[in-house]
Amino acid sequence: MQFVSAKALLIGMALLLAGCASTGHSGLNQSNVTEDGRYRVTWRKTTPEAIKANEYFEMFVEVDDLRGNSPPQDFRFDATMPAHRHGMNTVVNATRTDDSTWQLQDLNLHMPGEWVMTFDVTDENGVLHRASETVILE
Amino acid sequence: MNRDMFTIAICCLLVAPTLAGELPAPIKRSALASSPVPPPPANPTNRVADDPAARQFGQALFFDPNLSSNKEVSCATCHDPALGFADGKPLAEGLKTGSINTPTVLGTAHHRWLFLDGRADTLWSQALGPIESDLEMGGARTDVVRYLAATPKLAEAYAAVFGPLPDVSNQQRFPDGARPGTPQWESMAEQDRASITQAYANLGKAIEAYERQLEPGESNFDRWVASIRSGTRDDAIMTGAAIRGFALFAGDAGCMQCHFGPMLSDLEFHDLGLPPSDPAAAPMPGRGAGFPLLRASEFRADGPWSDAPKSTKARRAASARIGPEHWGSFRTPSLRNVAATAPYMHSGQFARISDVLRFYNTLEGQVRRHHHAEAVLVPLELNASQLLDIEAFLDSLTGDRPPNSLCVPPEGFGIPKP
Ligand code: HEC
Ligand code: HEC
Repeated sequence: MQFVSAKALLIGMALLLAGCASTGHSGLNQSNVTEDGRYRVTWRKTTPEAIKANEYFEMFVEVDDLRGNSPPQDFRFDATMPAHRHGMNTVVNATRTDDSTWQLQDLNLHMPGEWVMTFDVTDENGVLHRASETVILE
Repeated sequence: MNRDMFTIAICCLLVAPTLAGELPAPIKRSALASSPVPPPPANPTNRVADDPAARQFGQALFFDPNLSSNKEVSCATCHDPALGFADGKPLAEGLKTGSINTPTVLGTAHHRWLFLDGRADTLWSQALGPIESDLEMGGARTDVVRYLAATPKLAEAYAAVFGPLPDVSNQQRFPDGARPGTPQWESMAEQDRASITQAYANLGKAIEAYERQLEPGESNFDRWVASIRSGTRDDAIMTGAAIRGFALFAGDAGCMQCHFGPMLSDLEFHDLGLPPSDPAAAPMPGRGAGFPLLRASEFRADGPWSDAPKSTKARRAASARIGPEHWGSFRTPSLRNVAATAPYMHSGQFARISDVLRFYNTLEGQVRRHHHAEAVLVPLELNASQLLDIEAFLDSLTGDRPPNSLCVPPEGFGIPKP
């Protein structure tokens, strides 16, 4: 059995606390603005629990045009794990429920770790606007 | 929390000399999330999945060598109840030697994808593969239906669950050896092919009903976790080594990136870059081949023979996606009963658990087959006693055997014990 110095243990504890303090995003009920400020994307998970690794979930996504009010042409959701160089193992089934709302089904972030969710809005001219959010799953 | 920080913190906590006292919170959460094994998820695509008569009929089929072309190979030949429902061999041996290690049937009802490359999305469709595979049983669906029709006990058992078998007495219309891909099959009328395939799919559904009862069984690990859950943690149920091993498994060693949840599997696919057992053989595509096979399968969860092609289960199965990182990947196996199912990995590359752990520890011999490969594994550089601890934990996952009545052919069908 290995022993560590009290100092290493303290550093470990401090890191653990610091790490916990930075925990926040569960991927639930949030909104974010696209990088260029054109749209606000708000997403709402259909069940109240935070996203869990490898559990299927659904979301409603609402896209607000902050600079005008032409409905977007299209919306796409994706999620990747940059550190592992892979994405989801499912194709998200997206249904447009009105001009600015999409229902996303069959979402599954299948591994614990850091996922980047991207929300891509295509505007009336076919230009892409991206909002993104990092979630960390235990 | 940032993963690296998390790992460092856990690491610092864990090299403490013992785990007496409170378990670190993340380790405790991981333990609670890994046990008990819930009942298998419902399978609406098989309406007899939990039907008692279907279970018994399916059990008879599982042990019956007459489904094979030489009347010698049954499912139980390779999935032997005495060998953890596997065969103890590196590669399966049926009519010929295959290229894949036989996995256990225990707990398979919990899987999202069946076969190591996921080319089936339900247990009933999985069962229909080996019967017609020339490597395994070499049978043909028309012959199987004819055999059932000629065997009163089986014909009765079929009828009790599914209604009467199709009448296959006309040899002209239902030629011997007819199965997809044969000239005999091509010669048959569309409607006759459909009635045979319907009966064949039903056999798979009965086999699934039997298999759904083959649960991994309660293990010492489960009993230990139950003691944690009840607030009276009893470490005497496990060995000290197994508890330390679990803490490593759930923490520093990163095993739970893929082996998590009650089955200790994410039920998905990864390429570990394992060295091939035969370096001269062409590299195996794994999921890269399994995915198109599933797409092409007539027995898909959302296909014509499914009992619920529009169910959520079927829709999710159909929404599977494949990316370049899946080439060469295989499904994460459940680690329940792992100590009972040597050898290990998709082509039986490793004879012992210690060989598996040596690979994870050093990644010696790892093959990067292409630049899209996933990047999850790093050499662990654990010491010998830590590896023994993980092995002790894996040993603690051996569950109670299913009841004896499920390990032999059912009474009254005249099927000899394997
Ligand atoms: C010749 C040996 C052999 C025979 C006979 C055989 N199997 Fe298998 N079984 C295997 C091998 C090998 C695999 C894995 C193949 C693969 O992944 O490509 C497998 C996979 C499975 C799986 C999926 C396990 C998993 O983890 O995904 C199940 C369930 C199963 N077999 C049940 C059956 C049934 C039911 C029968 C009889 C109808 C049968 N097997 C006949 C060797 C055999
Ligand atoms: C990147 C995901 C991943 C990680 C991390 C991982 N495994 Fe695995 N494990 C797999 C996959 C996938 C297989 C099957 C590979 C194959 O056959 O090609 C496997 C196979 C195994 C097997 C063999 C099981 C059998 O029945 O053949 C054992 C034992 C095992 N892993 C234990 C561990 C341990 C212990 C750790 C941590 C040190 C670990 N794994 C980390 C994905 C992973």
